[in-house]
Amino acid sequence: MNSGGNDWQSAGVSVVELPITSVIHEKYLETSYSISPNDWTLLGNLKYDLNVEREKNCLVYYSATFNMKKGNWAVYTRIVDNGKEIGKSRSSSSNGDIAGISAQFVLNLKIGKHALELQYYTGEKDWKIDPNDNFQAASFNIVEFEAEIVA
Amino acid sequence: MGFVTKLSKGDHKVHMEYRTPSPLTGQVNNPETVWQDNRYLGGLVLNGNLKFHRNNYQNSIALNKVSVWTKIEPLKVKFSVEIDRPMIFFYNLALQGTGTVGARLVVDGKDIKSTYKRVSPLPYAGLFGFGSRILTQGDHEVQVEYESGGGKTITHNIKDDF
Repeated sequence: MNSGGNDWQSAGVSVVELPITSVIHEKYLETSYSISPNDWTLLGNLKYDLNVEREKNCLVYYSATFNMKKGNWAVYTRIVDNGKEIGKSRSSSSNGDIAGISAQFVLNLKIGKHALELQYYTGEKDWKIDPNDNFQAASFNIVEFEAEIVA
Repeated sequence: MGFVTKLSKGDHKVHMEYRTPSPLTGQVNNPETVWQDNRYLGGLVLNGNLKFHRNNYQNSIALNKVSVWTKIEPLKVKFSVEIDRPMIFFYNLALQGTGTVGARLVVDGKDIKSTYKRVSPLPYAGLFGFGSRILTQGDHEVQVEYESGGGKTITHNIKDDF
Protein backbone atom coordinates (compact mmCIF):
# COMPACT_ATOMS: atom_id res chain seq x y z
CA MET A 1 0.00 0.00 0.00
CA ASN A 2 1.33 3.36 -0.84
CA SER A 3 0.39 6.96 -0.46
CA GLY A 4 2.07 10.02 -1.82
CA GLY A 5 3.98 8.64 -4.78
CA ASN A 6 1.61 9.62 -7.55
CA ASP A 7 0.22 12.98 -8.43
CA TRP A 8 -3.25 11.91 -7.30
CA GLN A 9 -2.17 10.56 -3.94
CA SER A 10 -2.07 12.57 -0.76
CA ALA A 11 -2.02 12.13 2.98
CA GLY A 12 -2.75 14.61 5.70
CA VAL A 13 -4.04 15.21 9.18
CA SER A 14 -5.46 18.49 10.47
CA VAL A 15 -6.64 19.81 13.81
CA VAL A 16 -8.54 23.07 14.24
CA GLU A 17 -9.03 24.81 17.56
CA LEU A 18 -12.48 26.39 17.39
CA PRO A 19 -13.97 29.38 19.19
CA ILE A 20 -15.20 28.28 22.60
CA THR A 21 -18.76 29.16 21.58
CA SER A 22 -18.76 26.22 19.15
CA VAL A 23 -21.05 23.39 20.20
CA ILE A 24 -20.20 19.74 19.54
CA HIS A 25 -22.78 17.00 19.22
CA GLU A 26 -21.42 13.46 18.97
CA LYS A 27 -23.33 10.24 18.91
CA TYR A 28 -22.08 6.72 18.34
CA LEU A 29 -23.68 3.37 17.82
CA GLU A 30 -22.99 1.65 21.11
CA THR A 31 -24.52 -1.78 20.59
CA SER A 32 -24.53 -4.24 17.72
CA TYR A 33 -27.02 -3.36 15.02
CA SER A 34 -28.38 -5.64 12.31
CA ILE A 35 -29.19 -4.31 8.87
CA SER A 36 -32.33 -5.66 7.26
CA PRO A 37 -34.16 -4.97 3.99
CA ASN A 38 -36.00 -1.71 4.37
CA ASP A 39 -37.17 1.52 2.95
CA TRP A 40 -35.39 4.50 4.49
CA THR A 41 -34.93 3.59 8.17
CA LEU A 42 -33.27 5.16 11.20
CA LEU A 43 -29.84 3.60 11.77
CA GLY A 44 -29.77 2.56 15.43
CA ASN A 45 -29.85 5.48 17.82
CA LEU A 46 -28.18 7.94 15.47
CA LYS A 47 -30.57 10.88 15.71
CA TYR A 48 -30.81 14.25 17.42
CA ASP A 49 -33.73 16.30 18.68
CA LEU A 50 -32.40 19.86 18.72
CA ASN A 51 -34.25 22.96 19.86
CA VAL A 52 -32.48 25.79 18.05
CA GLU A 53 -32.98 29.16 19.75
CA ARG A 54 -30.78 31.13 17.37
CA GLU A 55 -30.10 30.39 13.73
CA LYS A 56 -26.96 28.31 13.42
CA ASN A 57 -24.61 27.14 10.72
CA CYS A 58 -23.27 23.66 11.24
CA LEU A 59 -20.80 21.14 9.91
CA VAL A 60 -22.43 17.71 9.72
CA TYR A 61 -20.58 14.42 9.39
CA TYR A 62 -21.66 10.81 9.57
CA SER A 63 -19.93 7.50 8.96
CA ALA A 64 -20.65 3.80 9.15
CA THR A 65 -18.16 0.99 8.62
CA PHE A 66 -19.55 -2.51 8.78
CA ASN A 67 -19.16 -6.09 7.74
CA MET A 68 -21.45 -7.94 5.38
CA LYS A 69 -21.65 -10.91 3.08
CA LYS A 70 -19.53 -10.86 -0.01
CA GLY A 71 -21.02 -10.39 -3.41
CA ASN A 72 -23.28 -7.89 -5.02
CA TRP A 73 -24.92 -5.61 -2.56
CA ALA A 74 -25.58 -1.96 -1.92
CA VAL A 75 -26.49 0.28 0.97
CA TYR A 76 -27.46 3.93 0.82
CA THR A 77 -27.53 6.56 3.56
CA ARG A 78 -28.89 10.06 4.05
CA ILE A 79 -29.84 12.63 6.70
CA VAL A 80 -33.41 13.89 7.19
CA ASP A 81 -34.54 16.96 9.13
CA ASN A 82 -38.12 16.79 10.46
CA GLY A 83 -38.84 13.98 8.03
CA LYS A 84 -37.51 15.83 4.97
CA GLU A 85 -34.36 14.71 3.24
CA ILE A 86 -31.44 17.11 3.29
CA GLY A 87 -30.19 17.26 -0.29
CA LYS A 88 -26.41 16.79 -0.41
CA SER A 89 -26.48 14.28 2.49
CA ARG A 90 -26.62 10.98 0.60
CA SER A 91 -23.85 8.44 0.35
CA SER A 92 -23.57 4.84 -0.83
CA SER A 93 -21.33 1.80 -0.96
CA SER A 94 -21.45 -1.48 -2.84
CA ASN A 95 -19.75 -4.66 -4.05
CA GLY A 96 -17.21 -5.94 -1.56
CA ASP A 97 -17.05 -7.40 1.91
CA ILE A 98 -16.54 -4.15 3.76
CA ALA A 99 -18.69 -1.06 3.50
CA GLY A 100 -17.34 2.28 4.53
CA ILE A 101 -19.87 5.03 4.07
CA SER A 102 -19.49 8.65 5.07
CA ALA A 103 -20.64 12.11 4.10
CA GLN A 104 -19.92 15.63 5.19
CA PHE A 105 -21.78 18.84 4.46
CA VAL A 106 -22.64 22.27 5.81
CA LEU A 107 -26.13 22.95 7.14
CA ASN A 108 -28.13 26.01 8.15
CA LEU A 109 -30.47 25.31 11.07
CA LYS A 110 -33.35 27.76 11.43
CA ILE A 111 -34.91 28.63 14.78
CA GLY A 112 -37.19 25.88 16.03
CA LYS A 113 -37.19 22.16 16.68
CA HIS A 114 -35.21 19.82 14.45
CA ALA A 115 -35.38 16.04 14.42
CA LEU A 116 -32.24 14.98 12.56
CA GLU A 117 -31.86 11.30 11.66
CA LEU A 118 -29.24 9.18 9.91
CA GLN A 119 -31.20 6.78 7.72
CA TYR A 120 -30.20 3.82 5.58
CA TYR A 121 -31.85 2.00 2.69
CA THR A 122 -31.00 -1.46 1.41
CA GLY A 123 -32.41 -4.62 -0.08
CA GLU A 124 -29.91 -6.76 1.80
CA LYS A 125 -30.00 -8.62 5.10
CA ASP A 126 -27.78 -10.23 7.74
CA TRP A 127 -25.24 -7.43 7.91
CA LYS A 128 -24.05 -6.14 11.23
CA ILE A 129 -22.43 -3.08 12.62
CA ASP A 130 -20.75 -4.25 15.79
CA PRO A 131 -18.94 -1.49 17.67
CA ASN A 132 -17.18 -4.15 19.71
CA ASP A 133 -15.49 -5.52 16.62
CA ASN A 134 -12.08 -4.21 15.76
CA PHE A 135 -12.91 -1.95 12.86
CA GLN A 136 -16.65 -1.40 12.85
CA ALA A 137 -18.28 1.81 13.97
CA ALA A 138 -21.06 4.22 13.18
CA SER A 139 -21.41 7.83 14.21
CA PHE A 140 -23.31 11.05 13.60
CA ASN A 141 -21.63 14.37 14.44
CA ILE A 142 -22.86 17.96 14.32
CA VAL A 143 -20.70 20.98 15.13
CA GLU A 144 -22.40 24.37 15.51
CA PHE A 145 -20.28 27.36 14.47
CA GLU A 146 -20.42 31.07 14.38
CA ALA A 147 -19.71 30.87 10.68
CA GLU A 148 -20.94 31.90 7.27
CA ILE A 149 -21.95 29.36 4.63
CA VAL A 150 -20.44 30.25 1.28
CA ALA A 151 -21.76 27.58 -1.05
CA MET B 1 -14.20 14.69 2.13
CA GLY B 2 -13.68 17.83 4.18
CA PHE B 3 -10.65 19.90 4.91
CA VAL B 4 -9.71 23.25 6.37
CA THR B 5 -7.54 25.96 4.91
CA LYS B 6 -6.58 29.54 5.52
CA LEU B 7 -7.67 32.07 2.91
CA SER B 8 -6.10 35.46 2.58
CA LYS B 9 -8.20 38.59 2.34
CA GLY B 10 -9.83 39.02 -1.05
CA ASP B 11 -11.84 37.10 -3.63
CA HIS B 12 -11.45 33.35 -4.03
CA LYS B 13 -12.81 30.70 -6.37
CA VAL B 14 -13.18 27.05 -5.36
CA HIS B 15 -14.10 24.28 -7.76
CA MET B 16 -14.10 20.48 -7.74
CA GLU B 17 -12.10 18.44 -10.25
CA TYR B 18 -11.91 14.75 -11.12
CA ARG B 19 -9.80 12.45 -13.20
CA THR B 20 -10.14 8.79 -14.03
CA PRO B 21 -7.74 6.01 -15.05
CA SER B 22 -9.83 4.98 -18.05
CA PRO B 23 -12.61 6.45 -20.14
CA LEU B 24 -15.96 5.85 -18.49
CA THR B 25 -19.28 5.37 -20.17
CA GLY B 26 -22.69 5.58 -18.62
CA GLN B 27 -21.48 7.24 -15.45
CA VAL B 28 -24.37 9.51 -14.61
CA ASN B 29 -25.18 11.52 -11.54
CA ASN B 30 -28.95 11.51 -11.22
CA PRO B 31 -30.47 12.79 -7.97
CA GLU B 32 -33.82 11.25 -8.94
CA THR B 33 -32.53 7.74 -8.24
CA VAL B 34 -32.73 6.39 -4.73
CA TRP B 35 -29.05 6.65 -3.99
CA GLN B 36 -27.58 9.39 -6.11
CA ASP B 37 -27.23 12.87 -4.79
CA ASN B 38 -26.75 16.33 -6.11
CA ARG B 39 -23.15 17.07 -6.82
CA TYR B 40 -22.19 19.09 -3.85
CA LEU B 41 -19.50 21.53 -2.86
CA GLY B 42 -19.93 23.58 0.28
CA GLY B 43 -17.88 25.59 2.69
CA LEU B 44 -17.99 27.45 5.96
CA VAL B 45 -16.11 30.64 6.59
CA LEU B 46 -14.89 30.34 10.15
CA ASN B 47 -14.16 33.58 11.92
CA GLY B 48 -12.76 34.25 15.32
CA ASN B 49 -9.88 32.89 17.30
CA LEU B 50 -8.96 29.79 15.31
CA LYS B 51 -5.75 27.82 15.44
CA PHE B 52 -4.60 25.27 12.87
CA HIS B 53 -2.32 22.31 13.42
CA ARG B 54 -1.65 20.48 10.19
CA ASN B 55 0.58 17.89 8.64
CA ASN B 56 0.18 17.53 4.90
CA TYR B 57 2.73 14.83 4.27
CA GLN B 58 4.32 15.09 0.84
CA ASN B 59 6.44 11.94 0.70
CA SER B 60 5.65 8.37 -0.21
CA ILE B 61 4.33 6.13 2.58
CA ALA B 62 4.57 2.35 2.30
CA LEU B 63 2.04 0.39 4.38
CA ASN B 64 2.73 -3.26 5.11
CA LYS B 65 -0.03 -5.73 5.83
CA VAL B 66 -0.88 -5.67 9.52
CA SER B 67 -3.66 -7.19 11.60
CA VAL B 68 -3.53 -4.69 14.45
CA TRP B 69 -3.96 -0.95 14.39
CA THR B 70 -0.59 0.52 13.48
CA LYS B 71 0.64 4.09 13.46
CA ILE B 72 1.34 5.74 10.14
CA GLU B 73 4.24 7.38 11.83
CA PRO B 74 4.63 10.54 9.73
CA LEU B 75 0.95 11.39 9.96
CA LYS B 76 0.61 12.98 13.34
CA VAL B 77 0.42 16.42 14.88
CA LYS B 78 1.48 17.51 18.33
CA PHE B 79 0.25 20.73 19.84
CA SER B 80 -0.54 22.48 23.08
CA VAL B 81 -3.94 23.94 23.99
CA GLU B 82 -4.00 27.08 26.10
CA ILE B 83 -7.59 26.76 27.35
CA ASP B 84 -10.23 24.05 27.15
CA ARG B 85 -11.53 24.24 23.58
CA PRO B 86 -13.78 22.47 21.11
CA MET B 87 -11.72 20.96 18.30
CA ILE B 88 -12.34 19.29 14.97
CA PHE B 89 -10.05 16.73 13.33
CA PHE B 90 -9.67 15.62 9.73
CA TYR B 91 -7.51 13.08 7.98
CA ASN B 92 -7.30 11.87 4.42
CA LEU B 93 -5.39 9.12 2.65
CA ALA B 94 -5.40 8.43 -1.08
CA LEU B 95 -3.96 4.92 -1.44
CA GLN B 96 -3.06 2.40 -4.09
CA GLY B 97 -2.62 -1.34 -3.49
CA THR B 98 -4.59 -4.55 -3.11
CA GLY B 99 -6.58 -6.07 -0.27
CA THR B 100 -8.41 -4.26 2.48
CA VAL B 101 -7.42 -1.20 4.42
CA GLY B 102 -8.91 0.79 7.26
CA ALA B 103 -7.84 3.97 9.00
CA ARG B 104 -8.74 5.95 12.11
CA LEU B 105 -7.58 8.84 14.26
CA VAL B 106 -6.24 8.40 17.76
CA VAL B 107 -6.18 11.40 20.07
CA ASP B 108 -3.97 11.15 23.15
CA GLY B 109 -3.98 7.36 22.85
CA LYS B 110 -7.74 6.99 22.51
CA ASP B 111 -9.42 6.17 19.20
CA ILE B 112 -12.24 8.31 17.87
CA LYS B 113 -14.98 6.10 16.52
CA SER B 114 -16.32 8.61 14.01
CA THR B 115 -12.99 8.58 12.18
CA TYR B 116 -13.09 4.87 11.32
CA LYS B 117 -13.11 4.19 7.60
CA ARG B 118 -12.45 0.89 5.90
CA VAL B 119 -12.78 -0.18 2.30
CA SER B 120 -12.46 -3.33 0.24
CA PRO B 121 -11.55 -4.15 -2.41
CA LEU B 122 -8.80 -1.95 -3.67
CA PRO B 123 -6.68 -1.10 -5.82
CA TYR B 124 -7.72 2.47 -5.16
CA ALA B 125 -8.91 3.70 -1.80
CA GLY B 126 -9.81 7.15 -0.64
CA LEU B 127 -10.07 7.16 3.13
CA PHE B 128 -11.11 10.15 5.14
CA GLY B 129 -12.54 10.76 8.57
CA PHE B 130 -13.77 13.51 10.80
CA GLY B 131 -13.89 13.80 14.56
CA SER B 132 -14.73 16.40 17.17
CA ARG B 133 -13.78 16.71 20.82
CA ILE B 134 -13.34 19.22 23.59
CA LEU B 135 -9.67 19.07 24.55
CA THR B 136 -8.45 20.32 27.88
CA GLN B 137 -5.59 22.71 28.49
CA GLY B 138 -2.22 21.07 27.92
CA ASP B 139 -0.30 18.97 25.41
CA HIS B 140 -2.02 16.71 22.91
CA GLU B 141 -1.19 14.34 20.06
CA VAL B 142 -3.33 13.28 17.12
CA GLN B 143 -2.13 10.23 15.17
CA VAL B 144 -3.40 8.46 12.03
CA GLU B 145 -3.44 4.65 12.30
CA TYR B 146 -4.22 1.91 9.75
CA GLU B 147 -5.07 -1.76 9.73
CA SER B 148 -5.28 -4.16 6.80
CA GLY B 149 -6.65 -7.27 8.46
CA GLY B 150 -3.43 -9.14 7.78
CA GLY B 151 -5.05 -10.35 4.61
CA LYS B 152 -3.84 -10.18 1.08
CA THR B 153 -0.38 -9.03 0.24
CA ILE B 154 -0.43 -5.32 -0.27
CA THR B 155 1.51 -4.10 -3.21
CA HIS B 156 2.26 -0.77 -4.66
CA ASN B 157 4.05 0.86 -7.48
CA ILE B 158 4.69 4.48 -6.95
CA LYS B 159 5.75 4.94 -10.56
CA ASP B 160 2.53 3.59 -11.98
CA ASP B 161 0.22 6.49 -12.54
CA PHE B 162 -3.06 6.64 -14.45
